Amino acid sequence: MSIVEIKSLPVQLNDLLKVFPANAGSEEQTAVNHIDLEIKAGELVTLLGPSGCGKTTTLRMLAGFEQPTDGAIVIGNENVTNLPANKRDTGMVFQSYALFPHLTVYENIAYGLKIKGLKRNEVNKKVKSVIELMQLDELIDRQPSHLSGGQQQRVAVARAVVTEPKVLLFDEPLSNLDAKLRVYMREELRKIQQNLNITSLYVTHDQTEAMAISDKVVIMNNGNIEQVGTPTEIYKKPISQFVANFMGKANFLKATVKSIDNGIITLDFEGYTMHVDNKDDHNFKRDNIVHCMARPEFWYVNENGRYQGKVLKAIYFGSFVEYEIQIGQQRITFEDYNHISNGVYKQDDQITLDIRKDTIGILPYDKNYDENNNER
Amino acid sequence: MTAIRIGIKKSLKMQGKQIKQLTKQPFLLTLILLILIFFFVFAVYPIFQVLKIAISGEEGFSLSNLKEMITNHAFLRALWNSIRLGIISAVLGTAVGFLFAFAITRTEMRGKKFFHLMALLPIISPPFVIALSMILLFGKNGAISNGIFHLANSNIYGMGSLIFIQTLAFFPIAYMNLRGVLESIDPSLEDAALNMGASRWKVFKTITFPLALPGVFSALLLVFIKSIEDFGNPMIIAGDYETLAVQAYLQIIGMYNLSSGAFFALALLIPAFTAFLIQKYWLSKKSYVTVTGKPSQSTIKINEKYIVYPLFVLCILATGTILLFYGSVAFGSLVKVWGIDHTFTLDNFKYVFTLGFDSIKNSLLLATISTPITAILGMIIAYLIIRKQFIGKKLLELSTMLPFAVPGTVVGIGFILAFNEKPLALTGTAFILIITFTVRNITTGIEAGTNSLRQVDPSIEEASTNLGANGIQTFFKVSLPLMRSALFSGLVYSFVKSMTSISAVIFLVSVHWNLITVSILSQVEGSRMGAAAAYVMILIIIVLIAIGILQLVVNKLGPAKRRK
Repeated sequence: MSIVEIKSLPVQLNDLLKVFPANAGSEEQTAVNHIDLEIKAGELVTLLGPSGCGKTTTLRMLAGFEQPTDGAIVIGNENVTNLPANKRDTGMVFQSYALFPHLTVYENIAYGLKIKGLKRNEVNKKVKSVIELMQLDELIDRQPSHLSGGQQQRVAVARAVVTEPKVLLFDEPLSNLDAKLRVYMREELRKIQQNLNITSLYVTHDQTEAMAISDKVVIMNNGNIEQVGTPTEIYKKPISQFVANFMGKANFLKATVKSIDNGIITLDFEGYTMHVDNKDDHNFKRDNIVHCMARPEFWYVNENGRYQGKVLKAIYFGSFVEYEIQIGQQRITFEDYNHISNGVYKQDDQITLDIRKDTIGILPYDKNYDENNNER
Repeated sequence: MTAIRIGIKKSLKMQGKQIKQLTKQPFLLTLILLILIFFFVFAVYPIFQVLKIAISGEEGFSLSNLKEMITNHAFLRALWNSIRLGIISAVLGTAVGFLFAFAITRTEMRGKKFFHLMALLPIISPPFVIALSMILLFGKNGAISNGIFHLANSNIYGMGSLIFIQTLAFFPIAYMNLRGVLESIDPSLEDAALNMGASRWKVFKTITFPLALPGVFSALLLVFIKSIEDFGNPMIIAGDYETLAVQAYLQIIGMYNLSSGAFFALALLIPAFTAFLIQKYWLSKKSYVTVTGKPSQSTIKINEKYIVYPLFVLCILATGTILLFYGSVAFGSLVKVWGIDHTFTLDNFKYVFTLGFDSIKNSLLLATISTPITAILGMIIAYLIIRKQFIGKKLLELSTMLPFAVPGTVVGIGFILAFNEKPLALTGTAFILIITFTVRNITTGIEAGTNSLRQVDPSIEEASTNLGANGIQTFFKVSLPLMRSALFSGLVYSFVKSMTSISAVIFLVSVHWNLITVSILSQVEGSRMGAAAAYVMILIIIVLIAIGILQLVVNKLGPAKRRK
C-alpha cells in the first residue's frame, strides 16, 4: 500500500553484559547484567525502570552506540553484535529528537536515504509518502527550531522510519512533551508502529506510558530484568515488591500462611481470614510470613465485607477518594472510584471493605516494604 | 585480591575492546596516528631540542657550564627585566581592560560599539605597530616631541615606553576576556544586592568584582605571557633594556651561539608556561561563571553621571590613543619624510610594491595555504577530543596545546635546532613556515571547536550514524556545519596570526621566503619609517579584507535563513 515497506524481524538479546570500566572518580559499573530478551516480529516491547537501571544502555547496545562487554545481539538471523552503528539498520527516535538543526524538515527526513545513495526521485517519493503518513505536509521547508515539540517528534519518527529499518528504537521519546500532548502522541506512535508492523524497543520510566503502548513490558532494576509480561500481568501480578511499587501504588499486607490447597491459599491477616488464588509456582509453606500485594483500587466497600477498618485520613480527588484505613495493626491505602454510590467517609468513621481473591498477589516478606514504611 | 584481579582483567578486556573498536575503523585509527605523529614531530620534538641544548650545551652537559650560564649577569638582567616588564604591563593592561569591559557591559554609555571596534585594532594588527608609531610620534623627529615641543634629542628608548606600548597593545586582550566574564555574570545577582539596599559602589565591591576575580587573574596571566614573549616591541624600542626574547634572538642570529640562545629561550619558557598552566587548569576551575544557556534578562544599566563620565573619559583616552597611533602610521605612510617633509606622496607604497612586494606575496600565500588547513584540522581534532574515545587522547590534547603555550621565540629556536639537518632539513623552505603557522595557531581553533561541540547534543551525531552515515559523512554533513562559528574564529585567528606574528618566524625566514612582518622590522631598523608604515597599512587592509571574505565563505557553509 505504501512506499515504505518494512520487513518485520524478531530481535534477540542473548546474555547481554555491559560493564563500564572504572574512570577517574567513578568505579567500574555493571550497567546491564547478563540479560536475555526476545522481541517477536512486529511486537512493541518496552523497557521500564528507574534511571540508572540499564534500560537506555540496552537500547544503545541494540543501536550499536555501546559495544556489549559480552553476549550477543541477533536481528532476524543475523548476529549484529560486532556491526558498527551505521550498518545496523535500526531507526532511532531520540529523547531530544536530535533533528539536524541546520537542515530543513525535508532534508532531515531525506538524510538517511541520501546516505544510502538512493536516486533523487526515489528519495523524493519515499520522503513524500512518509510526510503524508506523519501529516507533515505543510512543514517540509521549515527549520527544526521553528517547529513545536509535537511536530519535532513527528519529524523524528518520520526520519527514523523512512529508511525502512529492521527495528525501531525509542529512547524516552515523549519525555519532552507536555502531559496532554504526551497522551496524544503515544497513541499516534502506537498506531504508526502497528500500521508499519515494525519490531520496536521502547524505553521509558513512565509506567502509564509503558502500559498504554506496549505488547510486552520489561521491568529493569540495577541492570537486571525483574519481570517480563503483558501490561496486565505486570500490574496485577508483580513478582516482587519493587515491580509492584514501580507500576503503581501498592499495599503490602503482612500475613501468615495458614493452609495451601490446590485452588486456594488461606492466610491470616490481622485476625481475618484471607483467601488468595493459588496459581503461581511458589514455595510458601504453612506458617510462613508473607506480603500480600493489593492495589488501592482493588478494595471495595461492602457492608458484608470481611475486613473492618477505621478511616485515618480521607482525601477527595474528584474522580476518586483516597483513604488511609487502619485494619488491626496495619494501615492500607484504599482508592474508592465508586464514591458517588458509596458516599464519602470521614476521619474516624468505621468502614467495611472486601477484596477479590484473584486480585491479591503473594510475595515473600520483605521488611523494607513493610506496610508502615509504605508511605511513598 | 581476586576481586581486584578480576577488575583488572575486565578493564584490560575493555581496553582490548576499545582497540578492537578502533581497528574496525581503520580510517579513524590512521587519522589519530597521523595527527599524533605530526604533533610529536612538529611540536614536542623541537621544544625538547631547545631543552636539551639549553641544558647540555653544544659540547655536552656540564654543571659548571650551566652554573656559569645561570649566574651570568646579562642573563640575570634580561630575566629580571622581562619579568618586571611582564608584571607591570599585566597590571596596567588588565586594569585598563577591566574598566573598558565594565564600561561597555555595565553602563549606559554612548559609543560603546565604537570603543569595542577600536579595541580590536591592536588585536588584528602586528603587535609592534605601536612601537613603530611611538617613534613616529615621540622619536627624534617625532611629531609630538619635535613637532610640538621642539625637543631636539628626545630619547624614547627604554622601559617606560615599553610599558606604555605593551599596555596599549595588550589591554584589548584583557578587555576581550573580561567582557566575556562580566557578560556572563548573572545580572540578577547585582539586582538582588541593589534590592537589599546596597549602593552601586557596594554592589561593585561585594558582588561584581569578586565574581569577576578569577577572570581578572586570568587576564593578568594572559597579558603577562603576552608581555614577556613579546619580541617586536622590545626589539624596536627597548634600547638597552634587554629582555629574554630579544636576547635569545640576538644570541642566535647575531652571535651564532645556539646553546646560549636556547638557554635564554628556556628561561622565557618557564614563566610563560607556568602562567599558562595556572591560567588553564587552575583558574578555569575557580570560575564562578556558569553558562546556563538561559538568556538572562539584562538589568538596568548604570547611568549615574559620576560613574559613567570618568569611565567615558577613560574610554575616549584609550581609543583616542589607539586612533592617534594608528592614524600616525597611516599618515606616515603617505608623506615624503616623516617629521621633515610632510608633502603627500605615494612613494612609500610604490617602494613597497616594487622592491618589497615579495614578502607581502609570500605572507599572503603562506597564510592562505595554512589557514584552511589549520582551521579544518583544528575542528577535526576538536571532534576527536570531544566525541571519540581513544588511548593517548590526553597526549594529543597536550601536544596540540604546547606550541601555543610556548613562546614563539622558543618554537622558532626549536624548529631551527630540529629541522636543520637530514632527515628533516626543512629550514629555509616555505613548508616549515606553513607548519609553524599551523602548529602555532591551531590551538584557538581547537578550543573554539571543543567549546561549540560541547553545546551540541551528541545524539544529533548519533542520529546521523543511526541513519547509516559513517564517521566522515557525519563529520562533514552534521558536525562541521554545527561548528560554523568556531570554524570562523579558527580561520580568522589563524589568518591574522599568520600574517602578523613575528617571534617564531623571524628565525625561520630565508632569502627566498621572507615575510611581511620581518620586512617591516627591517625597514624600522633601517629607519625607513615611511616604508614600514606603508607595509603596515597594506597588512591591515589585507587582514580586514580577509576577515570579510572568510565571513562570506563560512556563511555559505551553514543555513542562510531559508525562512522568508
